[in-house]
Amino acid sequence: MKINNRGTEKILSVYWFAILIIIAGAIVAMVSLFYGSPYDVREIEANIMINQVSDCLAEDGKLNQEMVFNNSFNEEFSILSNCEITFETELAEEQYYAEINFYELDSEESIFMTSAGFPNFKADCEIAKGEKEYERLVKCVDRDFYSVDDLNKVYKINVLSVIRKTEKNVK
Amino acid sequence: MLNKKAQIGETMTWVVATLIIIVLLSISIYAATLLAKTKIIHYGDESRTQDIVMEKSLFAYFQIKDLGVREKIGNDLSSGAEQGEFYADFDSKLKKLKAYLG
Repeated sequence: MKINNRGTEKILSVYWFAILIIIAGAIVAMVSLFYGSPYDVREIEANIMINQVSDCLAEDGKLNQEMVFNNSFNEEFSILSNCEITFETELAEEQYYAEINFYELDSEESIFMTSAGFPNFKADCEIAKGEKEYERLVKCVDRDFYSVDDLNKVYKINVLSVIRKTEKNVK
Repeated sequence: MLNKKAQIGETMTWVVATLIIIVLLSISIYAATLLAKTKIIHYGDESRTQDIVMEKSLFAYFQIKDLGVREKIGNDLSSGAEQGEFYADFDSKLKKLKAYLG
């Protein structure tokens, strides 16, 4: 009878050990799943880019004369060099796209457009909007603001900012 | 015979307990996976005192000489504020700028 009891105790301790390992493994899995997935900060990054671009386009409500002067747009204006932005990352492929569109008041048609970065990301914005599974493909933010040129003409300016960086922000 | 029945009963208790533990752990792991997917930080999550883009428009608003155009843009900005397009308080910023720029 004593021998039998000892056997049961042994089986029970092996069982408890197995349960302990299962619970510990599950806790490790839960923690690594939660803390292993990165924070998606692309929306913030896109807004920072818009702030930087809008800051170089207009100051105190007046348009930068390097962009528009005497009713003509400067075709040489570069978002990267004029706005002091760099699109270089540690990743090999391009990760950014920025686009500026100028509209006259009461007009939906862009009168001037300039862009920088990988233009295919603009199409990805539409895909990301439509399908839930492609939602994390790119993060697109666009904002409008008004500004006045040197001849007091008012423009509505739309700045589109697209960030890919999926590997760094989404798991 | 009675001893055997007791043994079977006890074993069944442990089997059921193990299954419950495994099910609970699986649910927890699945919940951790779902929670990990919600780690998105939105720009509008934090309350901000500044919105550079909104302020650009407000400065332009005070630069406009044509009153008709000014009113139109003012209405457009107000409706934008109502729709939550701005990250900072539009009305307080407008009041502050009005006091400085008139």
